[in-house]
Amino acid sequence: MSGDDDGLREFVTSRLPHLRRSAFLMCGDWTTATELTRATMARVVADSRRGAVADPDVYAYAELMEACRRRNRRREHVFVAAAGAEGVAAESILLLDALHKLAPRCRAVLVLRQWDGFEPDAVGAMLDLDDERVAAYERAGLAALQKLLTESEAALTG
Amino acid sequence: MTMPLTRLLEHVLAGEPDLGDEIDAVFRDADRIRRRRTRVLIAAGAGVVATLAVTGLVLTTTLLPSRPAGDQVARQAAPAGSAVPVPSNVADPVLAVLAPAVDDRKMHIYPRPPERGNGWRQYSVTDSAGRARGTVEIAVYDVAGDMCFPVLAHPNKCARTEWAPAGVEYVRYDDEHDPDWQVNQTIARRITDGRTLAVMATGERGADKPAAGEPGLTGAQIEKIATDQRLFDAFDPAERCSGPSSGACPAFRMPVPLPSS
Repeated sequence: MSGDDDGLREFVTSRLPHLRRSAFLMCGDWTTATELTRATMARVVADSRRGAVADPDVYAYAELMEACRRRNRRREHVFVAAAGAEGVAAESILLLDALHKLAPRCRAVLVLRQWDGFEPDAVGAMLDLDDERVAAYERAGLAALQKLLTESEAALTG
Repeated sequence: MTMPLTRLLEHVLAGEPDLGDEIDAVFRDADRIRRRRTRVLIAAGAGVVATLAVTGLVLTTTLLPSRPAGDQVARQAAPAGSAVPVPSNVADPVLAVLAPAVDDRKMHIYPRPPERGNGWRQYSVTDSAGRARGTVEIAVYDVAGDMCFPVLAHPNKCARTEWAPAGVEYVRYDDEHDPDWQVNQTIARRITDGRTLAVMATGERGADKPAAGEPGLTGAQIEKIATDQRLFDAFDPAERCSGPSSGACPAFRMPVPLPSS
């Protein structure tokens, strides 16, 4: 991607919605997700203008995941529905809750692999992990998620 | 999960708010970043000038007699009380994980005073004749990010981890070089939530023969115990050997490296 503003605007327009959804899955709050995504994209734009970005996708997702990790350091999580949103399905809340019981790095691997569809090597580059660790996080994360969801559903129905 | 995670996540995103003028806001923020960087650059230049001026001032005053420095009193922070009171009739879930391994060796294990605190437990082991066979100490930590498992011989390197079922990575640190402090230790980390356990069995110190100073549990037993999911769950989720009460935590042969922030 060149550092010209037209190219940058095209990049931001195409990536911002998806990046914000990933941020929401990481932090569970649309307001925070919007704020983090905007700050991340602003850094991508600023650094691209001075030619400091080699791969804007890797750069953007790596920055976003790091921002989410810093934000979630205290492990506090409250799911916040968007203002004016209709009622949110109980299953969705259970899933978000289960996702947020995982360690930030594990959650990031699941979001990047399962939601964003990045290959393990790209995820490794974004999170500074080798392929083996990406696979281990994904395997363990999916298993833990399944266990948490089963427990939550059982508690809901029982 | 009866349907793929991707499909489930799509439902979670229902109710997504409009983007509004976010695109323009991104570019406004990018301009702000550029202006801030310029200011920082100017401030750094000013800082260099100020440093040079201060250095000159210091050099000109070096001939003046310096004020005698006051005695510095080393303050040793007293470890904060960390005991977690538990009714005696409540079974100790940590002990429940340890006991079978000790029983297998026809030994006995019981809490060793001070037996517990926030995120740690310690126990004594005796053989069938009642002779002391050392201690078992356990502590739990939260390490959310990736952890560099230390290497005994190379302080600045990271050990290659082994994997136990359910996403537990671990490294064994057995050290019998010092016959007076023989140690079997394992550090294990559950990668799904970052809970990290250090489990260490040490032999009796001052034993007349090296064999008498062997730990009550073998390295393999400690490894099995440290990677047992039940041991992770035996601690209260709020417990961790860090923060104000960490001074009371056991001293491990190989400490768990904790992030500084």
